[in-house]
Amino acid sequence: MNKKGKWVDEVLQSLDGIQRAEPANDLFDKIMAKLPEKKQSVIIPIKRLRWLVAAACLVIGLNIYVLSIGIRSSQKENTSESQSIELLTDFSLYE
Amino acid sequence: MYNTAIGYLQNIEDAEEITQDVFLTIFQKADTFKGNAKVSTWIYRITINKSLNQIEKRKRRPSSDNELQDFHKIDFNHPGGILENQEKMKYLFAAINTLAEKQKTSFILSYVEGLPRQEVADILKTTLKSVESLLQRAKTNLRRKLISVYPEGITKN
Repeated sequence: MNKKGKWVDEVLQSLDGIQRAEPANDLFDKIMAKLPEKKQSVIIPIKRLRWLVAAACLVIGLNIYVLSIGIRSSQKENTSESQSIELLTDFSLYE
Repeated sequence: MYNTAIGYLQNIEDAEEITQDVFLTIFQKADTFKGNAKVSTWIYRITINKSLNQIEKRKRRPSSDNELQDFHKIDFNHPGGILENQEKMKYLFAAINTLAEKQKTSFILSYVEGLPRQEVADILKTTLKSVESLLQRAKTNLRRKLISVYPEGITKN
């Protein structure tokens, strides 16, 4: 192998044993100085949301139940009123 | 990141600047990371893109002959090199500077970073075979460049 070829081989092999380049000590501080301050965001856990949904369903369900009771009781009142009118008619003394 | 950047840019100040930019990008875009590759792969890609962009910016700076300027700037001392290899490494890094992007990246990641070939393929989003081919071409081109700048007055050391 001629001198030139040998030299080229040596140059190509000059990376053998190369260590990683280490940055200057203050690079980390420079990086931290560039990073913006991040606002703390509030994260609501999904478990808590499930409870909220369950509570909302319960409240709505109770309201529907109370309304239905109210409707039924007003229907009963109408029926008893009409019955009492019939009774009165049956017992009318003066015709 | 710093070691990769310095392999591309061959300048300590530029490598520090790129390292800072990469950290900032990771901080800002962490939520866009889809997890379809390793985190290190993602970080390498960011570092490589920023380094290549910086090289492009340099090329756009007005000069009489960019190629001559780049190649004859045989003065980069890689901080991690062995002392007895420093002189030869200067020629090698000058030659690396003249490689096409993909060949340069394959060579730097394989020989300066010391990454396994498969990891280089993952970073480049290509196949192992393609990386082997890129490395082969890189070495051929490096050899050609080095022969053209062989210092005639060199004495064996």
